[in-house]
Amino acid sequence: MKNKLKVLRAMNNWTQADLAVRLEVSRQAVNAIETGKFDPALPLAFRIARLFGMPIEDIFDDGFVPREAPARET
Amino acid sequence: MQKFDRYRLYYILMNVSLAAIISGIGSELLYNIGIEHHLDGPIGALAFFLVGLFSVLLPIFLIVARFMRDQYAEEIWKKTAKHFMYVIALIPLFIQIQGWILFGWIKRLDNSTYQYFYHHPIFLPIQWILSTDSFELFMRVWVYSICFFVILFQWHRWRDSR
Repeated sequence: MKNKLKVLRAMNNWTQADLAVRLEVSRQAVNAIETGKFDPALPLAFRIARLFGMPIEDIFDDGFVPREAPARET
Repeated sequence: MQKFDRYRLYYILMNVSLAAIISGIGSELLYNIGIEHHLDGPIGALAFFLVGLFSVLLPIFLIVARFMRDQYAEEIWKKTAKHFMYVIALIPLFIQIQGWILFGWIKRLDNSTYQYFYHHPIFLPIQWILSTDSFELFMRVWVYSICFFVILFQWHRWRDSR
């Protein structure tokens, strides 16, 4: 899943290790999320969102576009 | 110990385990081609003990130590376990098929053809099983399975890091 984690980390001048400490995960986990190799589960996604003070959907983009529901006959 | 230290330690211990496995396999391969390590006496015994400890006992701990894995390590562990099960399911079938081919078909041909194929490297797995004592076979399969899990885990980790 695309995400802005690397950008947000850079804006705060944090290394991957710094971010890992703040999120209580390993540096490998941070690297895997940034490169899109690993999608965090909800608890970790919420921690990330709260850390950066942004909604989850502003950080992660799953590319899902909801289809319009067919019009109902009245 | 803080959580992220534990998580970091997990990866470090996996690296140590892989190094021990490579040492053990390398040593055995070299021995098979006639190159001995000449580590005798207490040093040799200590080296043998450490390789055994870090290539078998340590991975067993790492496999069951859920508390040392963060979410990402757990994902890699699940991926490893999934592929490990594929191998567990397929390798015995492959060996069984070898048995059917060798003893169900080739053996019915002339004796020289059978003897040629029986000693052919392609049938090495079934030759080894039939020539090994059952306890030794059980122990070797157990040890190789543990080592294979570590190798597979590290391979998934390396693939993700590229």
